[in-house]
Amino acid sequence: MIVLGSCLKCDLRFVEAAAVCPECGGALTREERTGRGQVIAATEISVPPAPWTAPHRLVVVELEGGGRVLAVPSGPLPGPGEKGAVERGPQERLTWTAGAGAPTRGARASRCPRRNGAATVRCGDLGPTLGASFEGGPPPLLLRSGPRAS
Amino acid sequence: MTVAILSTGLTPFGKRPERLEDLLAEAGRQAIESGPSSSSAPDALVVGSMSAGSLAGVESLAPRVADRLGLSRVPAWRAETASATGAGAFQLGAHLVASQAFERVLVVAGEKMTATSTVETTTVLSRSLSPQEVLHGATMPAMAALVSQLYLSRYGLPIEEVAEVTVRNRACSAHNPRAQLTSLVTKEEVNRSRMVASPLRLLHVSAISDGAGAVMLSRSHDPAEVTVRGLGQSTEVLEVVARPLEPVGFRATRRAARLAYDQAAIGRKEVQVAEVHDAFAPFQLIDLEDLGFCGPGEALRWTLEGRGDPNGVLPVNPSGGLLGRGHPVGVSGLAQIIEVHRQLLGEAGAMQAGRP
Ligand SMILES: [Zn+2]
Repeated sequence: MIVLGSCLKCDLRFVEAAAVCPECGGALTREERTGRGQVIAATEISVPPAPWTAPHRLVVVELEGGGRVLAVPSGPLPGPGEKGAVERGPQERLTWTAGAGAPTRGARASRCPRRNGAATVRCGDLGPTLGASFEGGPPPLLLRSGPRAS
Repeated sequence: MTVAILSTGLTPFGKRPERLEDLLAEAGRQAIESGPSSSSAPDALVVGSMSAGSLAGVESLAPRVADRLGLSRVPAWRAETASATGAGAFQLGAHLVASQAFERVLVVAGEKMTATSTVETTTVLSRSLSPQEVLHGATMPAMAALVSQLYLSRYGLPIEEVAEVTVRNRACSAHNPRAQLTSLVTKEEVNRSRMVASPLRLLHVSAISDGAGAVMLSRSHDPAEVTVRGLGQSTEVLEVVARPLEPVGFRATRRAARLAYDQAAIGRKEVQVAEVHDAFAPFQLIDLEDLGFCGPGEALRWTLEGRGDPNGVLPVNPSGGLLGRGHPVGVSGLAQIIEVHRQLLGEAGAMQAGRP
């Protein structure tokens, strides 16, 4: 499962841990994705930073359900349009595998309160941990009923 | 309050033996000594460098430069806005004058990038990316490659044709006495150069370089002076892949341009020459669109038609740009301003734009 931060005000979705939306300062919620998606850009780097070794590859994946992530492909450099799945590996790194069958059933749908009409999350509830580092670490989100933050 | 550019200084770019603070002092001294005879020493100093500590092993840069210029008594600050550092330092200096806090401000910016290995330099520069991207081994060229690919695929543009940006900029830098790269290159050479981060090849990427520039700013007293009409700056969400893709480009550039156009009370059609941030060849195309000179996806055709050539409708990077001049990251923004200043004065020599 991939967890994205999602802004209730401007719709920005991102992976980086944040307490507020980096674009507009708005309140955040978390959205979950199966990890399935499609490569929209890929590159092979000849001089990667340590500790990576050449050739190092990176892909941008458009996730099913919305949102994009950067990931390291497990195999050869994929072409744009390749379908597969992103999985979280050691040190929270995301790995792309072509054709991988992340579960389509049983995956939780988006928990965005605005989109399912349940509740509103305020900036301070999320602390600094929303995003990639959220999974498996911090306690469940504290959702508060009330008007949508703006 | 109108802010004037009284004088400028610019060192040659390339692999330089001097220490960073000596390069900065060299440029600063040029600006001080080439100013009008009526001008006196600056009463404030702004020094820009992106990664002086990591790349040149030096901190407390502002007082060091002040020392070398005999300016230790004046207030001095360091500015940093990643690869826009030179322009950021200029903006701060201009605001210091415009606020009437100071009469005359010397802005100096520079970078020393060749004292470290290419891997070290690349690693240091990558630290300005988002932690999420660094975690995955991203570099500046890698993120540029991904953005470029999204741009090219969005508009169905072939990377092979983007080589023309380098070819044309290198044709300009051949006339630039301070440029790092002064030899002409062909489209074939660009497209055969080694891959750095696919689809970007070596000749699509601006060179690691050393250099410094300086500008003396003052309250304007003479209508003949070149003055600052508008300034704009913006940042953008650090996580590159999170940014909106429609249009593919840089919202920071679009916001900064809008601010500058609005402040200057002009439209893009009144711009007569432009220096844009071609750190990577496709970025020149994206810049042209973000600055409003071309519609989305139109910049490559516009470029191939020669409209941005030195004798075109809007000369773009007549200095050779970063692709020709080299890209000491902390000074490139200021070097662009200095080159434009010389264009406006008609003092750009063989690089002068607008000639038939
Ligand atoms: Zn937002």
